[in-house]
This record gives sequence, C-alpha cells and structure tokens, in this order.
Amino acid sequence: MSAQQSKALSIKANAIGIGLRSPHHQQIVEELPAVDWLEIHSENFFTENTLNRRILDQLSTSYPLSMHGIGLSLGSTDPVNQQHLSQMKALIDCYNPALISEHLSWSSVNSRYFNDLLPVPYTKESLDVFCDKLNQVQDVLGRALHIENPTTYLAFKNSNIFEWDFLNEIEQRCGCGLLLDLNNIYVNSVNLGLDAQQYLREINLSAVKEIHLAGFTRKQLDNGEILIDTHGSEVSEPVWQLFSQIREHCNAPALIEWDTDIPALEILLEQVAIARKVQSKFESIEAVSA
Amino acid sequence: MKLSQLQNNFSKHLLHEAVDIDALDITGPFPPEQLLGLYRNNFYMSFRDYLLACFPSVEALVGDEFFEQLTKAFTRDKSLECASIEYYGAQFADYIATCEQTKPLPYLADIARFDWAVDRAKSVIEFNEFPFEQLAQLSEQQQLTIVFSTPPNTCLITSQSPVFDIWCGVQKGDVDGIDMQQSQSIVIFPNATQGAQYQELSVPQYEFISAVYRGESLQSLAQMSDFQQLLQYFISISLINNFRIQGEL
Repeated sequence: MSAQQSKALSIKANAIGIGLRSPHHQQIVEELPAVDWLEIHSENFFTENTLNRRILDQLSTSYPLSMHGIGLSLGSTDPVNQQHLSQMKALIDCYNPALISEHLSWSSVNSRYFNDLLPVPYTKESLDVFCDKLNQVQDVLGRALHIENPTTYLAFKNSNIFEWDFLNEIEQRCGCGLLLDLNNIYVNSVNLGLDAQQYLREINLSAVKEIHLAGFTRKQLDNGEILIDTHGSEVSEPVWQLFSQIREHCNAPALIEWDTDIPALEILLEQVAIARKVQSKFESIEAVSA
Repeated sequence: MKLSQLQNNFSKHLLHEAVDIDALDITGPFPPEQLLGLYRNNFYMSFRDYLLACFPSVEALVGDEFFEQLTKAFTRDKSLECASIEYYGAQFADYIATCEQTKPLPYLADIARFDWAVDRAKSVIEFNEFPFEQLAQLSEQQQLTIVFSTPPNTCLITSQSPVFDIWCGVQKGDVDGIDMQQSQSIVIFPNATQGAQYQELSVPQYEFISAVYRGESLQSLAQMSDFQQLLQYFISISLINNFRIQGEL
C-alpha cells in the first residue's frame, strides 16, 4: 500500500476501539467485529513485507487506525533516534492513521534501549528536554502527537511540577494533544497517593484526544501491596467510574487496551460493550477530526 | 542531579551496576531499592518473555529457572540498540556458544539457532514457484551460468550434535534415546502453509545446498554426483525457488 493509496478513516467522538494484538489478527480479519477503531503498537509494524503489515493492509480499509508508539523515548536526554523517526514516518505516510500517540517517559539512554517506559522527574529541565524532542518529531511528521500520562511506581523528590501541569504545559508549548490513560491515573492514585479527582479537574480536557482503559495486577511485596500496570485484566470498577466521570466533559475516542495474558477476542468485545453502556448517557455524534 | 546523570544512574541500577540510590532522590510507598526493583524486574521480564517466544526449545531443555538466569545475563551483556526488539534474538545463539554456564550442553547453541531460524522463517510472507518458463527461455550457454537461490530467511545449520533429533524430540516432549554422538545438518526455510519447514540433510544434500549457498553456477553444480536428482528434489520442496544469471543482480 502506498501513501497515495491510503485514505484516513476518521474516528468519531465517543468511539470505542481495541488494541490490535497478534493473537486476534486472523479472527478480526475474518469476522470484522463491531469495534469503532483499532490501535497498533507502531514499532511492531515498521518492517514491510511481514505478516503484520499484510494484516494491517487488510484492516486499514475497514477500521480507522491509531498508532501508539513505545520507542521514541521523548523523555530521554539522548537525541531523537532519526532512524526510528524515519521508520515511524514511513509507517504513518503509508496508512495515514487518525491518531498518533507516544508516552511521557523515557526508554533509552546512551543509545541503549530498555524496552520499558521509565519515569521522568517533573522539573523544568525534563519539560524542556521533552518539548524540544516532541517539537522535532512533530516537525518531521508534519502533524501533532498525543502524549500519554504514565504509570509510575516512584516519584522523584526534585519534581516540582504536578503531573497534570507538566502535561498541560507540554500541550501548550508543542500544540500536541493528550492521551489520558484512566487506569494509569487510578494505579498512581493507589500507589503514590495521587488525587485522581484533582487530576481530572486540573488536566486540560479540551486537549484530551484519546482515552485508554485497561486493567492492572496486584503485586504483593514483603511490606505491602502495589498495583502494576500490566494491561492484563479487565478494566476495574474504579476506572469505569473515572470513565463515566470524564464522559460528562470529554468525548474523545476510548480504547480497551490489553497487552498481557491476552484473552479471547470476545472478552475484549465485552469490555467494549461495557464502555458503550457507561458512556451511553453522554453520547453525541460529533466527529473527531483525523 | 542533572537529568542525564539521573537517567544514567537509573539505567546502571537496571543493569546491576553500582550506583548511589540515595542520590536518585526517590520517594514512594516503599523503600527506593524496592521501587527501583520493580523497574528492574519489569526490564528483565520483558526481555525474558520476548526470548521465550523466540527460543521455546531452549527453555524446554534447560528449564524455567536456568532460562531466566541465561536471558538475564544476555540482557545485561548485550544491549538493545534500537527501540524495536524484533531482531534482538539474533545474537542469542552466539552468546550461548560462548557462555560458561552452558558448556555442559554443547548442543544448546545450535538448538537456539534452530529456534531462531524457525522464528525468522515464519516471518516470511512472499513465496514464489520456481520460474521454469524463464529458465526455458535462456540459451543452453546462458543456463550453464545461472546460480540458484533459496527463499529469504533460509538457514543451514551443521552441528556436531544430533540437533535435529533433539529439537524434534523437544517438540514431541521426548528426548530420550537419542544417540548424542551423531552430527547432523539441517535446513530450515519458509513454507507457505506450514510457516517454517525443516528437515535433516544427508551429506550429499548438505554439500549440494552449501554449493548453492556459495553461489556456484549450474555448470559447477552439474559436476556433483546425483546432481539432477538433488536439484529436482530441492525444487519440488521449494527450497530452491529462483535463479539468476551469474554476475547479474
């Protein structure tokens, strides 16, 4: 598929999508289930002439797409990895997705990658580094990214900016959108005492262009319990409550995200049905532009 | 602490290098060492899960605990140099071959090569039939100069161990009774219906395919005994699936 052939399908307001994961590829191609959009992990589709790309070729004509990156490492002091950016641009040019997103995190330093989303301190220096790199990326791609709030299991004592203010400032400086992961907010509220209600009050909801819904795992430590953002279970009740709350003010497309212990597709579709039920009282038919 | 220093120290901790944890100025619901341990655990587990998906036979042979130690050492010693982890496993077999802990298992590196070859063969999606019509259009003189080619991601392994028998035994869950003194050669290549096809090669088959790999021309291959039979066979199983005229791309 060439850039000329691709035509973006837009994602409607209040649309509910699912993350496209390899155990479901064939079933989705054959059955085209009634989900509103699909999100891929961009890096898994960089290489041309692969099974993944063939699947994407097929599905991109039936579903609007979102590309969710995990490797740009925007919070790292390393320079932007130009090869990675070129691969990302080639993928975007090929499929012209409705949404593109990345994380408020870092995953590499000194050119070594850790295949994880690591925490940044919320300081002016971090903000400058992040915004500088995000601006470089957006300049190359010619369009805005959406930045996702992270799960963190620790905080840095030198952080002197609230996470919501940090994200709002990124949005202001870079003209990007925000991806609000409600499970991350909940996990951080339990683990670190973050005030989820204040988060929803303070974050700039008009900049929120996508919502993530996922499940967590409880991990017992010697001296207590911690929630781990595994994306390996159903969306929890407190997260559904946050979703219901945010739907009063925000109609951004939402995604059921499930990355580990991936269940049958039908389970994800049940989660989609719950999301639709939760938001049914707030729905409008306003299109969200690509 | 500057951000670059903080990230440098954080990464050192992930890699089990000495670092002053207090200087990282971490706070949270548990002691800093424990919180950093969560990240360290996630880091090694994500690489272990990836390597397990690529090297299931290695894990089956050494067991979960040893596999975890092996992948942890590999992850620490061999850095991932790009964001995509897809090709990271390419170095794993060579690492095993030089690893002190795996010396009692001399076949393990070749089992890893076998697993990796299967993984890579499965990633191929384009297949073509041997172009007999194009071959017929060449003059006899031109035909003598052709070199044959195999599908992408085809892998030839020759081992001092009975690696084919061990690998197949692992798939069946029975590795008893294998003559460990045998040496074996195997070819693994993409197959449109099976994903990956693999088979043990006899000595003449191995020599023939090795010569094809070296880019020897049809004229040279024709000097080998059983040439026609071998060529027909490898074309019939789509291991030889194309040709080009020597010297042309």
